[in-house]
Amino acid sequence: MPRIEAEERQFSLLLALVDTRAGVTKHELFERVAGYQDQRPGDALERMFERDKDALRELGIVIDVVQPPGDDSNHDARYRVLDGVLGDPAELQFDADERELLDLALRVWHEGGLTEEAQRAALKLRADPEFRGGLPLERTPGRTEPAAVLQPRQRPRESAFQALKRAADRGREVVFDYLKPGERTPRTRTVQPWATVLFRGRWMLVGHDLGAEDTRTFLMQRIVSPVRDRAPKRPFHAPDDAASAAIAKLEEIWRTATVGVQAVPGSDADIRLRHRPDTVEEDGVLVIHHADRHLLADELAGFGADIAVVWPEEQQGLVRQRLERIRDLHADRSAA
Amino acid sequence: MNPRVERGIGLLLSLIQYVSAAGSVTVQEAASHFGVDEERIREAVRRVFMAGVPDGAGDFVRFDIDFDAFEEDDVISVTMRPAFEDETVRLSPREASALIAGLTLVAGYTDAAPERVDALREKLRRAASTGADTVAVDALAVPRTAQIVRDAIRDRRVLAVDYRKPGEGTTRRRVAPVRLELREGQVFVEGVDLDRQGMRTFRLDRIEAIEPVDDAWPEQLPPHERVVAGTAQIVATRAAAAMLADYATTEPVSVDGERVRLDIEVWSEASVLRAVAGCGGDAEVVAPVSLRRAMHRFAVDALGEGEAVTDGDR
Repeated sequence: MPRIEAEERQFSLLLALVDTRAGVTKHELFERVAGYQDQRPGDALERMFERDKDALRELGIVIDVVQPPGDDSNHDARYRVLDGVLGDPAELQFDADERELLDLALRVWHEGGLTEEAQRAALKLRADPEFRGGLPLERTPGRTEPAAVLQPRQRPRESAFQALKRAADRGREVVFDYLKPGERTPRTRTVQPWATVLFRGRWMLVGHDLGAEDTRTFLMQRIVSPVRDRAPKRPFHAPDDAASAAIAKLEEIWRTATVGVQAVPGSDADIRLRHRPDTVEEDGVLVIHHADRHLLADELAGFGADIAVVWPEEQQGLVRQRLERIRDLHADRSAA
Repeated sequence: MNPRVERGIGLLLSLIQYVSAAGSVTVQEAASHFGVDEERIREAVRRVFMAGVPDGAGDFVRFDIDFDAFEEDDVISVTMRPAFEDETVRLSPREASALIAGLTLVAGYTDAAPERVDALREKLRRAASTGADTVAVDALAVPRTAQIVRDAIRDRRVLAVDYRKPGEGTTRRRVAPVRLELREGQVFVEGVDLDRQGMRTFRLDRIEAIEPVDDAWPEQLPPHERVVAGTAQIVATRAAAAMLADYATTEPVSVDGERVRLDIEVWSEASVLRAVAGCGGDAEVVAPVSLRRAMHRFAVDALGEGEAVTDGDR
């Protein structure tokens, strides 16, 4: 008998779960689903079942478990696909203008950390024969507007990205070494991951920091170790608005945190800082907004002699420290 | 396509809807529609239509295709589809988020009316199964300059651009724009520099002024050329190396527990100095010596210590 591939087994499992209103027990699934039938009961089969549920969850198919009242054993729990997972195919049909926009939206993630989600979404949208979005341009000759005109690309190189997403999906805690902006030594953090957000071109992880016992935002670029994950002591749930609340909070910080900078008129720094969102000029001083003083200090150090921080003093000090470090790192007395 | 996505049952489910809606398609058409190999489509068809029926579900007839047409003519033709007939798997919260986030990043650069974009965003939210909101992006106003460029691309109009490069003054260029690139929160204009007769890339936030002019649109687009003067060797913390990754020509190699070594392209000395300094002292130019000296001078000048350290610098 040919081996039953995971894909076939998962498809069969989905059919069995969709086919039931009241739910089916695990025992019933093991008897019915091709791929489980020929397996011996035991740990290997249980693990296979868990993996298959994870695979379905990645597709957005959430499996509901109904436990009979007063029964803690797994024995009589009934599994079914949650209401709301399946919808009307018309919900995923879009007119020509919408399809063009969605094509562009998918292209943003061509090489990015959300590639997998975008590709899965594209697969679902392609159930509509009219939907051609998200394919590489060379596979869709003759299409010029607007995909050829606008080339979006958001490419988080942060290797932590995938590991964090997967842990978040599975409700696992993550442990990683984090180099906080402005600090020189990384510290190990344990976090219940909630959401990933992109703010002013930087990817961040939002979650509950178990050490700080509070919500924290981490720059993915500054996660300097591999991300390990582990089962939480108690199951946790991300707040429903975790990602949008984090963006709102960052916007609030950005709105209120300002630094006064003098730029050499007409310099590269001058023109770029003026183009920075929300910059205004007051009495010859550029008032610029930021979300983190250490990250801003790095950016300002990059402008070198083209700028001088006018206020606050703390920001002057942060930029000076960085320039001194650069100077000392590159001082070659031996080459004198 | 990511193999994890291509191998998954997402393709199977989508294929059922697709062939049902299309009525009859060739394997080749389906492969091109989904961006996968023809063999993958054949395999998916066999899995959906020929195997994997759960037992004990009564007279559970799911889908049927014309097997002869499939085996002999490579044509997928659906004859019956009781399961998933009027149901489809919704977008997962993360899939919907990816679409909504992508839409938020690009919409302002298109001609689409904001109300249309909002309506589409709402439609995507409704098409998602419920769950926590796990991905979000900030929505920034699109600069007026980008809109002018977009219109010029569409209308094939040449633009006069006052452009500033670091270390140089402002120059006026006549540019036939062909593309807007959104890259990691920065916007770039790709176009033909008519004075230099070459394809160039301009950073939008270095454009001082821009206006359409009446120069003729070039008949031919020259190939893109990128002048790279050489490479520099950098030692940096992992976090700083990630900031320089876009210019890297080698993968970072660990030198001690904390720092890595990598080579980056030197396309313009002034720009490289800025990029390295923007790491805030977490990146060091190791070679060439001339660039090391320039980096030192950069910091010394910025600290306003020009005269005091002349000895140490020599």
